[in-house]
Amino acid sequence: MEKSADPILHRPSDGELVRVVLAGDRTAYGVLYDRFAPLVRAVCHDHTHSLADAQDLAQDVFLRAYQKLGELRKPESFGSWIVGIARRRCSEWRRQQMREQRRNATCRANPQAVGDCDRPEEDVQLLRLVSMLGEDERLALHAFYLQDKSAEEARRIMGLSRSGFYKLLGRARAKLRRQLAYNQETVQ
Amino acid sequence: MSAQLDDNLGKAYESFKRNHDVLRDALMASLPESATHRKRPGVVERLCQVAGDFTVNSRMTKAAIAAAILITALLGLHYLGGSVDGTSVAWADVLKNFEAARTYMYTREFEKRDVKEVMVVRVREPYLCRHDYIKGSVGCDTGIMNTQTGKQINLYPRTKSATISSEEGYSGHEFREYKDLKRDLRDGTEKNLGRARLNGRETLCFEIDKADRTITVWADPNTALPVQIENLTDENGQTRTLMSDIRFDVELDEQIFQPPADYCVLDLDTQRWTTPFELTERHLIEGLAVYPKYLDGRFKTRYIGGRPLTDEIEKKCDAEIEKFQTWSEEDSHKSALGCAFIEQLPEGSDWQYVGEDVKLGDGTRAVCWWKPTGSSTYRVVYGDLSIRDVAPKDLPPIPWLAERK
Repeated sequence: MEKSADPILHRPSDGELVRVVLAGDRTAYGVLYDRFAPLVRAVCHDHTHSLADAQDLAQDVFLRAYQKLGELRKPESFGSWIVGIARRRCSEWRRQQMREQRRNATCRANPQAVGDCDRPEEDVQLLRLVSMLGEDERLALHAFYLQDKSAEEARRIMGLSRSGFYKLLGRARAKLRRQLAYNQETVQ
Repeated sequence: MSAQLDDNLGKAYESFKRNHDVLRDALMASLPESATHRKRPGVVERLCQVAGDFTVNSRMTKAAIAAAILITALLGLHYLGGSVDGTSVAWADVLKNFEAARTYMYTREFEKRDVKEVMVVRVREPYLCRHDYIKGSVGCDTGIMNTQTGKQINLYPRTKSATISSEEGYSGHEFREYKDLKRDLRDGTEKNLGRARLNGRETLCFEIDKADRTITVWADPNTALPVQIENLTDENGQTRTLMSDIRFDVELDEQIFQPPADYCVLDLDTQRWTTPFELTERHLIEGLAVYPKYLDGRFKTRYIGGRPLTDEIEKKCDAEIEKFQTWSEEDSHKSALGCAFIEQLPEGSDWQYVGEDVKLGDGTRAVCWWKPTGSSTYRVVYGDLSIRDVAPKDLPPIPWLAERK
């Protein structure tokens, strides 16, 4: 793999990595995986509410993306492209789940429990609240917190201007704060 | 609040990085050798390049040229009477069919030395698997595995009975085998062996050569659906597993992964029976009657209770068990239902078994008794399998208590 061409980040850009993968170097795909797998898992988690299922779906998303990598027109947009694949895969998964549940309502009585047993309850609750936000708001939070709080990276994934991204992120946080305050009042 | 929320979100998002390295390794191991390359230029672009070395950017122009090519091709086929045999599926297409299937069934033949088994396997992703033996059953006729609940069900159609247990047994094996196969197919080491005839049918043949096994996949050249899969392994002698009559996305009702409604079901974890009918004295009598057939005309030493267990009695019981090794499935089932009748007697029924060494047909000696709820008398079963109502004061003495006196 060639060395970074991005003097600011000192690391190869997404586009470079995609081109290297297409040239036959699978290890570069591992770097892309390191960059985006947590984000893809978070996107999947919005639908599955289960960490284990989200991990499984994310694996599938990356496998599919690898097989379709040659169809990616703008290699630099790998992040937003794979998030798109994840969203479609999640819709597919939800349809499957609905079909399953219709046939066997008792089988997955508590999907939230799967793989979440050893996660702190506050984290589970907080991510559940996140999953109740609008799709763009969720993605803004996911991208920001899983891309080392880099607004630049996150806005690129979302295809937004810097100010547009901050506006969206602010709105998502404000909604979360309101919901958390409401929950606390309700408990008290 | 804002900083705290920021911290909390940071912490919560950490969970998505959990097991990252393990997951990364798993993904990298399952990737095909190379990613699909950039989409090749379409027919229109290539023909344009060949014809006039020009590129077409307008979608409308592309569509018009594509239509013209299509019409020309159709006319050509019509007039020349040629057949289209240009269909060529790639391994990725075969793999895609495997990955996309939500249900599948196939005939599985397994051979190792002189052992040969044939069964039909049905799977409903992601957690239900059923196999029905056609040949070479090693106990049950049908095994069902639910990997979500971890429950294994064995069906015994001859006696309309089933067992459920938490131990993953044999039927889980087919499930794992298929999952392992899918993993092997994904590992990117496949070789395209080209076209091959299989039982007179044109197929495309692929081979995956692993260190300890060779997997050969014959696929339909038009649909990319697998026709047959052979897995040859060389672990403690060569074994051959052949999957044929493979069908994807067949309708598999959830009900076939459950015991039928008219079956008696024994939960091996709790040792409790669920029966579609009420257990009666008849079941007890039928259960008791089984033993004299194997014990030279005598009843069992112990049957849910009986003479207290000593080393000597234990040896005697073990010797009896030896004789039951050859009993039929039907007799085993009758005995089990007899036990189930006793197990479901309410507390205070005062069940007592005294059948040790009693001869079948001996109407003078009691085999067992119990007191039905609300009754002032006992129901006593005798050696001739008759049942009589007996007052408590008239119950026969319990042999080992009488011996002590």
